[in-house]
Amino acid sequence: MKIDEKTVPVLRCTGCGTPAIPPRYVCGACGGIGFAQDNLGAQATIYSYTVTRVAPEAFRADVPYTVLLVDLAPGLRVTARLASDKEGEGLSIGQSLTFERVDGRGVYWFRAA
Amino acid sequence: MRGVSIIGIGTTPFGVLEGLGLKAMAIQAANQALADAGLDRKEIEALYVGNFISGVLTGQETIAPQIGDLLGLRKDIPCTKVEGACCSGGIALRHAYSLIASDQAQFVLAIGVEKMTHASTEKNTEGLATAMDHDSEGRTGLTFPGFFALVAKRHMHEFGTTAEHLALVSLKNHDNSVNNPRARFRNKVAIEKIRESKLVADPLRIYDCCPISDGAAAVVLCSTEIARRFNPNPVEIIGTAQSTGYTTLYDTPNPVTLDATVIAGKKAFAMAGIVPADVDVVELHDCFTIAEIVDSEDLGFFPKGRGGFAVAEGLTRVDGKVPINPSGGLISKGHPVGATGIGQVYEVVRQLRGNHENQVKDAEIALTHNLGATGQVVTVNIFRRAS
Repeated sequence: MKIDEKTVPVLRCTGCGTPAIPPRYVCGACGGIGFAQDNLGAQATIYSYTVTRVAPEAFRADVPYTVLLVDLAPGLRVTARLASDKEGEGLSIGQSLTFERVDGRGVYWFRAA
Repeated sequence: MRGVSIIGIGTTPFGVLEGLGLKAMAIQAANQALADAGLDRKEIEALYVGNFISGVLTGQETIAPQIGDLLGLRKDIPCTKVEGACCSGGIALRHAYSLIASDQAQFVLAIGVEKMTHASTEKNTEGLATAMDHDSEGRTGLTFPGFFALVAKRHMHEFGTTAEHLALVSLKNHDNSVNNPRARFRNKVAIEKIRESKLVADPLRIYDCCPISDGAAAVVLCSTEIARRFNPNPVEIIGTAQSTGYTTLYDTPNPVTLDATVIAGKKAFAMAGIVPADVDVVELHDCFTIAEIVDSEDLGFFPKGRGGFAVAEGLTRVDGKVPINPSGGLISKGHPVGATGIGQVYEVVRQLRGNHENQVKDAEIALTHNLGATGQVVTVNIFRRAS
């Protein structure tokens, strides 16, 4: 299994070690309320995707843009954006992705591997 | 807990109601419901108003006491707005139910209302998007059509659901609303037009999405033991449940299922002591065509993955095995968000009284399913015609 060089920033429950996408206030697995910053060496794959063509004002300049639902680890997904967008061309469910960055607004970006 | 029945129903049409404001619509629907019940408004002991975004779209908040006052209700009763995005109406009904079931009131009025079409598309998009979690998923640019598009794409991948299945949901609901004078869309639409309509978020096209609308609906509830004094055909609420789902799609364990629907459905069926096969007519939350397919599976009417095929086989038509959305649903009757949950109840009460324009033959048991935001909140209500 290929592990990407870049790793995905996550929160990790200090009680049971379960990873979570921020923000997270209570651990879904153990109910703990303590979290530490961590990184996940994730094998990211596409769970689902869509090309958005009608968007609210704040995202109008981005249209069309691809929103991804990404599998990171068993039980851990994140809703994300596709970098270097070609209107979702050539994407398919199950396809591998490379983690790109988390931007200033906390949005996760991936690109096709 | 004592039994609770519906003795009066009222509604405005759903659609573009130019010149009719939020409070005027609510009062029109409520007056109709009170007249239908034959009940003096001074008998009402509580008012619940289901509404989502009056603040954003009309600049008006605190609408429940204002509607109560303008409606001429008593001053010694509580008038309360409840909000759960598109599920606000369903929540209002449940609160009304609970107050009577727990013997705290004899007569309660529940109204659902939303005024939308006066505002620009941008304002509506912004208003509706307030139900998305702005601390996480909302920041990606995920829209509501986008959310259901992600669900649709995965559903297609796992079960072989097709774009044609989605189009057939839209076609059926448009066909149904031709006969419904309360519906926003009254014209038959050709399947080709649906198939070729503009993409919003693939695979969803404009005909896969419900239209913003104005509208209000109201119901009067009372204890079942005295319901027949007011109405020869009372409709009893035999099951009711509200559940809480996930804030984001990425936390939803299996996004081809919206768990809040499964949970509320199971609780409501258990309370009613019936199974899905006992239901004669269904009004469920088809905010998008894929939602109708997923909801019909999550409520137990079809096995997971078979909802689209069921539509293609005609099972959900008015004369089918499981008639779904004979009103035209949100897709074609329209979706004034806060009004929808009560609007669904209006439609099924007419079905159980036997006087609906798309009457399901001998309908005795009906179900309504109302879903808020990204499946964050769901109500399921089950109704039975008094025998």
